[in-house]
Amino acid sequence: MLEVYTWEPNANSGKPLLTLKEKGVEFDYHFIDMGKREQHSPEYVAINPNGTVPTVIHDGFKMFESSPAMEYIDEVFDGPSLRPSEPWQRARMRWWMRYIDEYMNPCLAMQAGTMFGRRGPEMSEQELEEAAERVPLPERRKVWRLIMSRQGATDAEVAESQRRVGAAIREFERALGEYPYLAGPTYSLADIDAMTTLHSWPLSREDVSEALTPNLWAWLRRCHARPGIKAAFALGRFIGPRMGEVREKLGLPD
Amino acid sequence: MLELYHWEPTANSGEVLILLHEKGLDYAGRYIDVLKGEQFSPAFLEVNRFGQVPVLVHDGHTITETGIILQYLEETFGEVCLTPESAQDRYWAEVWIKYVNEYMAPAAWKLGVSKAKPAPLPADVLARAPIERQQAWAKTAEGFSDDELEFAKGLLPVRLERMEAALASSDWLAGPTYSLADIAVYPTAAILPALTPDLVNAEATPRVLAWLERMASRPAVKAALAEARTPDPKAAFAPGPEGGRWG
Repeated sequence: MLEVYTWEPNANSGKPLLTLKEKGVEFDYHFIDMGKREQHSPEYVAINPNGTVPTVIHDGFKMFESSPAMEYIDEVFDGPSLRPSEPWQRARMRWWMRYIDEYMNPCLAMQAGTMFGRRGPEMSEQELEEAAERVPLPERRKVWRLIMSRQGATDAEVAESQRRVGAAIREFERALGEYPYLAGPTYSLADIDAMTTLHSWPLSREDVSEALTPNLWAWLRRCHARPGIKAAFALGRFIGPRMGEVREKLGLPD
Repeated sequence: MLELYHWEPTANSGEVLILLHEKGLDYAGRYIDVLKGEQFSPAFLEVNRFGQVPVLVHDGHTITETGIILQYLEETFGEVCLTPESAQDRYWAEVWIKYVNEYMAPAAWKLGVSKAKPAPLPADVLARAPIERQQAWAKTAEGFSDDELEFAKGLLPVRLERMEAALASSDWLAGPTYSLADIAVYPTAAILPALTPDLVNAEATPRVLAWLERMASRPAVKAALAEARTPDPKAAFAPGPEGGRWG
């Protein structure tokens, strides 16, 4: 029995969804609405005491860390292997997963969280405190306090995050000029990890285009052409309906 | 041939040195004095443009990032096997590597440099460093505020509790046998009793202390420590990975 508690096929939430669809593994998808902060609800925290998504439960074995869970899924279930067999390519795959998870994604989360917080709904001091108190991990509680207090990060921090995302785009462009996929010649968990974040960049980022970032653009087209990717994004309530437009921009048939 | 660019056998470099000794592998050590800024020399930046140690060079491949080097060595030289047997325990080995990278090591160096501040690097040396490294050195020179140190320290208790929980049912962190997880966590955990005695002590974390002793008695750990060039490598601190930029 395989259960996935998660939000949309986006960022960390999307990692098990894209991996499982790529391998063609059946699972139960329990939608956790981050817009309603359901990941901090007592019911969900009873399942995952970190109050983070995703949670993957396989025959009673619970996993809360999304990238290690992707490796577990690839190892345990049938379907195409999503980790290269050459150790140096695996190292490259893990380097990218780490770079995405620890360098780029926190910058994007800081930008998005700050934007969301600054235009977010007004909350009373008490409501804010109650919402923050429900966040189990102290480091995440601090970030939620910043977001919900309508401040977010400072302008200087946001600007530095933007600079880092620019650096990451150059890093993608360089790596994808060396090989067609991030880990090397074959599609791997690193590409899946990247796609959970980059999926809509053809629509949302002016600094990503066929002219400016040809290698990244070609890679986005290759990834979006995969049936596993299409099936995973179709699960998205908010993201799913936009994917036709992304594919059109990339010149892919819908 | 295996070539390892490393600093003192503490924190990140310590993990790889211990693993090489566990596996009995010959390697050419290239000592990089991080406190002198040798990781930002033009020659080293040719090896790793991110200006960080350790770096493993093997068969024409350059492998960076400590946890990834551990996994590369394990997958390439499997004779002495340090991979847990079950898929569940292998998941946990990955998680421990992640806990060290994202929470424990970033907390430890910030607390460490606040206690033993490294001398600032000459401006011309630092100017060659990647921007993120320049930021970390500048922040170290400026000093961390009480709030920042409290936040860094706050990353530790959850992970220490999980260590205690794991060590309640086994002598080792990821399942019944000694593995990469123990090697990944040890060099960072070993400095905590001195750095955060209120969090790591006989009352709060008895199992962690017993595990630290088990680890310290291993010949490979002793051999790695013997490579130290400073009198007390556990007290050598340098600006490290940022960690937790946005939760």
